[in-house]
Amino acid sequence: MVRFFKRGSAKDDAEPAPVAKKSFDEIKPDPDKIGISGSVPFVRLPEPGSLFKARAERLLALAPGHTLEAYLRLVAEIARAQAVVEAERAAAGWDVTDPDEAGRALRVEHGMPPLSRHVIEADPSFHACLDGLLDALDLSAAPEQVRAARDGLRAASKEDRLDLAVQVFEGAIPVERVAECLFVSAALQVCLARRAARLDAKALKPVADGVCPCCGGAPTASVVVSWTPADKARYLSCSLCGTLWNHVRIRCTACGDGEGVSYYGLDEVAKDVQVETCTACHSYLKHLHQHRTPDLDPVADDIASYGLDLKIAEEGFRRAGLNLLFVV
Amino acid sequence: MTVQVSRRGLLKGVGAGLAGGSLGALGFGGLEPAMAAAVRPFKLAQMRETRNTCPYCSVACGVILYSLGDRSKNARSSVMHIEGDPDHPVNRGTLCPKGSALLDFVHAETRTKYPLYRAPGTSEFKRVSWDHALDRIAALLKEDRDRNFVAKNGDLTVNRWTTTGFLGASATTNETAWLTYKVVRSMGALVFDNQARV
Repeated sequence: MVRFFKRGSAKDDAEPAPVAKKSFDEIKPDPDKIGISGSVPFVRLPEPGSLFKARAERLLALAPGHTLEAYLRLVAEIARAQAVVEAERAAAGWDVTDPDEAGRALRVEHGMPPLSRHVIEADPSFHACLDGLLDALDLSAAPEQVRAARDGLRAASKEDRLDLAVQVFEGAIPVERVAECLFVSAALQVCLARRAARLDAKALKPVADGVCPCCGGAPTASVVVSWTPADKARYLSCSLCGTLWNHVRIRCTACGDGEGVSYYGLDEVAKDVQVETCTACHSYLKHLHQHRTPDLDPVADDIASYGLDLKIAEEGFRRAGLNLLFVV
Repeated sequence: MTVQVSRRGLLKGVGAGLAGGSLGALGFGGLEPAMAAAVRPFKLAQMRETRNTCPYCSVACGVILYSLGDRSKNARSSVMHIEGDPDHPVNRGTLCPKGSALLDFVHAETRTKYPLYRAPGTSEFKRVSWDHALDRIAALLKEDRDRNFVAKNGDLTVNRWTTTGFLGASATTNETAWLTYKVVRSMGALVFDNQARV
């Protein structure tokens, strides 16, 4: 009978490596070993070096055969250009010192996000970012309107560009200039991701429900993650700077209500992309189960799941949050 | 803060033939009707997630119950999955083997859902009303207390009742626990324990 329970040959049953013996006093509880820590980290700052590159890859992976293939390929091209600009600026030694250090301290002291619109206004690198982005883009496959928007933006004055950037930053995209705002948003994302990455994560505090603690931006989507210290916790992804910040699950991201929250999905299409709806404020936000599919990207999969937006709008829910590369 | 960015209605007002948002503005206007047509055959599946407390022990781990259906009158809801609540400070999303098996507890055929009564001398449990059950419990408590209550031990007043015990539940709030203690102790009962330690 014994043979039935013996696994492998005798060679494999070598003695395990001796473990250094500890006295009782030296043994301390180590909850980290089983993945539990006292609290979930409040923010995860963006990693600009990989953020845009991974996004471009995800968009290209989603595009083939998709109904929105042409648009996904355009945004993939923008994300690729963002990665190029980011790499160029990083190689050139990007100066991200805050032009308004005193103002920032005041904002943090009064519970406001450290990055404000003054950062863009006082930052000469925004124009360099935008120029670099427009040069890096290959729009030969894009429709005429896209190229017209790029050319229009190239010819625009600095004041005009800055004006657009501030409007995008404040979430008030001018209706008649949505096309140009696509490129302005992309340049802003590069600028702000780099600035946010330099912030001290431990010093950041919650600002309000659905408001980025770094730049005050609106969330693009909510992501259920699987990182070791925050397994299955929910993070919101900032539409501007790409920061991920923790938001308690089953709680509306727009109004904070916890009673009327439901999750809808097109089961036949993808189980890992849902919308979180709230019957208190009748809004919804995309809810991505990244712990099941690690490839999911807030921006890319928000665009790819546009069918879900159309379906949920029929139920009378409005979109909370914002995807700057896909304004609905 | 509620961020509501919906320019669709506004764009429709601006001029007929203008498709909304980025798709329209960038010359992809044809994709929107195509997308709508592509998802038309699909139905939305609604799921709810509900917070609760594991009923097994005093650790009182937070759990999330995943259910299908919207709890409306015509729909039949059903719990389909249970897992630890990652936001709960006690268990941070983890569960012990007993807690992990809660779904079988919910759907168990032998689960007690209403008061059952087996009369002396019979072999079967019979369903009874809550009133019947509570009246019977009260009557038996009073009968036993009247018979066995000890008011004095010699000259010393003790007011104790040791022949009946009480077992509290684990998923109670602070307030429920306080009330339970007050009710049980005010009757003089000393045998009082909590399910949490069983």
